Amino acid sequence: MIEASERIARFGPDDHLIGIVTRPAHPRPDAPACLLLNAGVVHRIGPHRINVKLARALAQDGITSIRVDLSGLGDSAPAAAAVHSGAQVIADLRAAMAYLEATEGCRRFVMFGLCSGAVNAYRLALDDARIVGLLMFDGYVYPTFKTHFLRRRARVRTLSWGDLARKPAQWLFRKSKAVAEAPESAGSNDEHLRIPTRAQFGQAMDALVARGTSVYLMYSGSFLEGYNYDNQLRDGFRGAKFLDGIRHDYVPDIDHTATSLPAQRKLIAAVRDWVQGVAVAAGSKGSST
Amino acid sequence: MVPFHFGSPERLAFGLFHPAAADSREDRAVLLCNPFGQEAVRSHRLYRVLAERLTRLGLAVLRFDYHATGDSPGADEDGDIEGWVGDTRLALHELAHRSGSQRIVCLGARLGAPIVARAASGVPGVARLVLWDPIVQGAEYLALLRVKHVESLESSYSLADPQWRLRLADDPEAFTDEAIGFSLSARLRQQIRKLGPHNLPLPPGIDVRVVAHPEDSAVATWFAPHANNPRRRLQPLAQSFDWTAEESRNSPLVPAPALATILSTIRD
Repeated sequence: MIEASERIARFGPDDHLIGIVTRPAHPRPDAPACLLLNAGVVHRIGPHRINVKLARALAQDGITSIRVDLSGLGDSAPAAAAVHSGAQVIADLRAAMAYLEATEGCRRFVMFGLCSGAVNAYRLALDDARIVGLLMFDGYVYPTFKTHFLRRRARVRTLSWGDLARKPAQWLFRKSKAVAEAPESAGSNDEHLRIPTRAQFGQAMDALVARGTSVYLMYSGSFLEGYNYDNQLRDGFRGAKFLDGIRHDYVPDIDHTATSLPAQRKLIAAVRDWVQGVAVAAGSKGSST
Repeated sequence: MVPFHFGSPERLAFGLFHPAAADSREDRAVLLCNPFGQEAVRSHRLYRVLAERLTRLGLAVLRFDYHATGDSPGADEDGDIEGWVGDTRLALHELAHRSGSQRIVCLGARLGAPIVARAASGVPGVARLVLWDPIVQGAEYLALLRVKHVESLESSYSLADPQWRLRLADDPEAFTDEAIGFSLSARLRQQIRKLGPHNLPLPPGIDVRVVAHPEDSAVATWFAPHANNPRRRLQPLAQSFDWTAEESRNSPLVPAPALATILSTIRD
């Protein structure tokens, strides 16, 4: 039995958005509330129900959360206004924050986003100073020379001698189309959906750290092509100011959607630990939620 | 669409009621019963689309999460078939009450099929069951989940651990307590293992439509004794649904042939 209660939230223009608020039995004073975002097309419960499990675990630590369906996803209706999807995401998440402020008095927030959820969380964090914590799980990746070397070495190790004899050397050493040959600022006409260049991402991290936002970048074992060793971020942004102000972990034993139960437990423990740290920092500043 | 909780305070379930279009002359309503685990996550979008189509056609619809699934209270480990049968009976009452309909059609997909078949037995007002790719051999289903779990791990991690395949082949207890992201308690495994043609009777007095792949031999064997009963019908559906795949995989979340077949089987 969880020491929390859950209630259904309808919010946004015409109440077209739906979410579930998990309220702890004993809310932690001054703690930020947590927004749990859609990952891809999975509805608000998250891949393998991870958002539900996370919400209830956070409630045990006194953290209020809301897991939301963005416009058109899950059980939320499409938005009536015709705007770019990126702008709509920002509007939807601001509506969720407004709802939590009106009903729970929350004025500061942390966000957990996985995959596309990480990208959406990043965009909102840059745009809204009420976000005091940003956890991107498998967000943007910036591979280094070492990343490519380790990827090729790992692939070679999976091949038998027979495979090696059959595969032309070119196959082994070609660039990853998905990462190496993609323009760094690839994306759509929607500015919100463009992949930030390495420089843009570094500037964004600098800005968040300067603002006092706690940033945690986690990278799973599902992106060999993009992120595949401890401290890759440090190599990729050598000398950047933000590096000492954020937390970043490569967690190869957790996959992109936390498929195994041990992976889920490890992910949830890491998120809880990070959110508690943000809550402690918020409390020491005398912030109120 | 009206989201709500129902059931007792000790055992709540999350539901979504879709009222029928205002000018409806239909006296039927539809209850959609989820499959298990990843199959339920996977079919969420399809159920939403199905519900919206049905409401436009004049039928009220109730979707819901069994206790310990989806948005309902309870941890994965708390799920069990007997409890889910009870949740489904409560959902039937909720739907009848909210819709005012006198006749209810129930759709149960995969594990939802044996659950709704049991739940509907003896409940007045249930006019038809539509059982889609029903689980009729529990032991085979558990074996399938083990294989699909390992396949999910292999496809999700960049570097698959060769030990997974070896354990799958050599250790019958390996990968039995979880299935593609969801815990499978010993109690639930035991209940699923017991499912078989011998204990999956079709409730008397209710029309039953079974939608299944034409080469699904388990369903064909189970259905054979009912083949001459005019109230039982087997509807072949060759292009069905990739039940256990992750959402990011390249197979349709709302396959048009499946949607059309299920819609017509509910309504005809």
